[in-house]
Amino acid sequence: MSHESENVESVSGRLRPQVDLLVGLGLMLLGIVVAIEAYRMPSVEHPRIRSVYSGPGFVPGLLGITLLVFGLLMLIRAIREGGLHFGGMGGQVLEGLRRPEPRRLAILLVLSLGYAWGLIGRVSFPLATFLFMVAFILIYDWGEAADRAVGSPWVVAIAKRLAGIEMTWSLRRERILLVITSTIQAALTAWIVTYVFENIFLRRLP
Amino acid sequence: MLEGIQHLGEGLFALVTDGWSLFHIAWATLLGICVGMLPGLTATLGLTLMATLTFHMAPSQAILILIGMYVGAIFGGSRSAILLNIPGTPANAAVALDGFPLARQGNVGRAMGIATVGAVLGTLIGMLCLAFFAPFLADRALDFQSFEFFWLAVLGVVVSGRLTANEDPLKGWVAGFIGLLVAMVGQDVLHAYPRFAYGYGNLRAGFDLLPVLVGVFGFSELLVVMKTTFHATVERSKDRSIPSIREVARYWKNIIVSGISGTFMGIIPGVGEDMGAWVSYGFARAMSKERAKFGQGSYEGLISSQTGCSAAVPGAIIPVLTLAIPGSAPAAVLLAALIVHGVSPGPLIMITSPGFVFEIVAMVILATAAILVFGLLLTRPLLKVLEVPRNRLMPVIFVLCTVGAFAVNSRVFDIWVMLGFGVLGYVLRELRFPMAPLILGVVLGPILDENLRRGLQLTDGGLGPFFTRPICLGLWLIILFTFLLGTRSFPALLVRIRNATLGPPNNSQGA
Repeated sequence: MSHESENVESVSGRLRPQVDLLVGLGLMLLGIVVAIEAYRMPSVEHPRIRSVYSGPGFVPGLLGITLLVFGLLMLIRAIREGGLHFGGMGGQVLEGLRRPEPRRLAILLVLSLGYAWGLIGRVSFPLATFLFMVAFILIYDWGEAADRAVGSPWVVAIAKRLAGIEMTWSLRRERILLVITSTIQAALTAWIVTYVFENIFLRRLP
Repeated sequence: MLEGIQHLGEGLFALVTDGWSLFHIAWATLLGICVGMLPGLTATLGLTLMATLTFHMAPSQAILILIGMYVGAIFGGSRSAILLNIPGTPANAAVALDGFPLARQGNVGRAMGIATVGAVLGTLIGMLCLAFFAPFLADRALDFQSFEFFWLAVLGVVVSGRLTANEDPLKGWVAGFIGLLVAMVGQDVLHAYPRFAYGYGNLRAGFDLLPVLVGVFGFSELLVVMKTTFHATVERSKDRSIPSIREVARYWKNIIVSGISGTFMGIIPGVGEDMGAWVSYGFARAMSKERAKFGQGSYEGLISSQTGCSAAVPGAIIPVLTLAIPGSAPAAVLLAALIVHGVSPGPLIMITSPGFVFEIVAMVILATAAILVFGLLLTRPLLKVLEVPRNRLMPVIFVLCTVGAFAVNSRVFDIWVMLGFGVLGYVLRELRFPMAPLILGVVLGPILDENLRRGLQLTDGGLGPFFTRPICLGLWLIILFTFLLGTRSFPALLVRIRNATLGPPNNSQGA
């Protein structure tokens, strides 16, 4: 059992006042924009709106002001906690970016946006789903298949040094298996989801 | 009261004699247990996906499935808490404290059996409260006007923001108000003016609740889960898993206290199951004669926390039905589903459809029976669920998120909404903003907007009734107090006042 998020949290934890400062500024900006937009909505000059507080902009205006105040509070608090000291921040951000998490996240975003934005609507739904599923499983499992081939990562490292030939064979077997099973799973998922939606729920798919 | 029992009897009879209902509750609860067990799939996510997928079913069947999913998932989370020391849903975090040490000591089966019984009894206590309090609350229904509803909506966001972001309430409130802001997009209720639409036809109608929920609880959770690699070792079960009556009866005090405190935490808007478990755990520890055992493998601790979080489920449904204000994040999804299915929960529900509350109670009873059966009989087969590889499961979940978001209105725009709110939710999570107040804000936004403006229209701009009507007075005082307790200076001031009047506290008792 291992969650690797602890180290990431400590990196962002150290930067918390600086991050909160930026978030506070962002909130204030959002609050101002919302309040201005709310002010521009029709009010008493409109024949059907009888009073200021029944106009459509009234509640959004209040919310904008509230967000502005909350942003200001965050800003003040962050400054008090040393949020203005940006020295060394670049290094810590780089350290955070070198970790595997940002890469895994970027892959997932590319995959999911590629599926929902790029594939759906351009190719048929079952094909889009099939392609997405195969890509997802292969990308994430390709590296982990190496771990499974021999066992835990340090065993892999030792095995690589000691018995290179056997290792590549079991890895190759593991990867062939991965390709076969992921194709089967992807095809099944695409077929079942399509079938259930179109024939049982009687819905159109994107 | 008699009428209530009659309604409940009719509701139960109708469900039990209908084969389809039994079938639906069985698979939905089982699926809920699996969803709850799998770390990374929460009860809220399960409910959201189910709400979109059952969107076109008959309302009574769809709601039955959602209730089964809800009860099942909150129970299922205890399995992984005990076996992996990872709560399957956030609600079960307290269960892991004693459940996992017990499992390590070789009591896997017994711990799971005790947790199952705790979950069943907790749900039953919460359900009794639901059956008893809902009609009672509804008696006051006609006292609720625009003024009260406005404060209730504010209360939901403020209290939820305070209690879900314990170390930083400000972030909880910001999340809640961002949720309220999201709800403002689209045509307003009074004048049909398209706010923040900028000429986009799709934005005119506003964001549909379900795709937003799928984004915030589905896609963003996926991003959080897939960011890290994860390996788990499952403790093996060898001992028997069905506890004897005597074993359970020993903890009767814990069960009753946890059941009631869990239900109460459920009722408080936006607080929910996890707090139910923590508070019950805290009470049990304070009451216990074997306090040192807590955290080292105490059956008292285990049964209290699971009873507490399961009791919060019916607890959270109470305000959903009677006030249309969700008690927790999954309950917010349930509320959204009820609304889209044309049931209008709220103070008038006991007048417009008096049997409905008891139908829900009957559904909860069936779901509870299902977790008892599955929990005790399928202990070992269910462990297989934990072996499902994450890399294989998550793409399926994403496909379901996409299809689910689309299925509601058959609009591709809803898929974009899902993606957009998923990314927003992820960023907010990384910045330590809690999600429950955000979602509460989205649900409560229209209520707040409409009732504040209606109220002000009625009084011609006067604020008097907002502050002087008896229920309003209570509500805004609670809100004010919640805000003040969230600041740093106010609690310090309270301590200073206490010290000035009573003298400094005795530190040996302070802990």
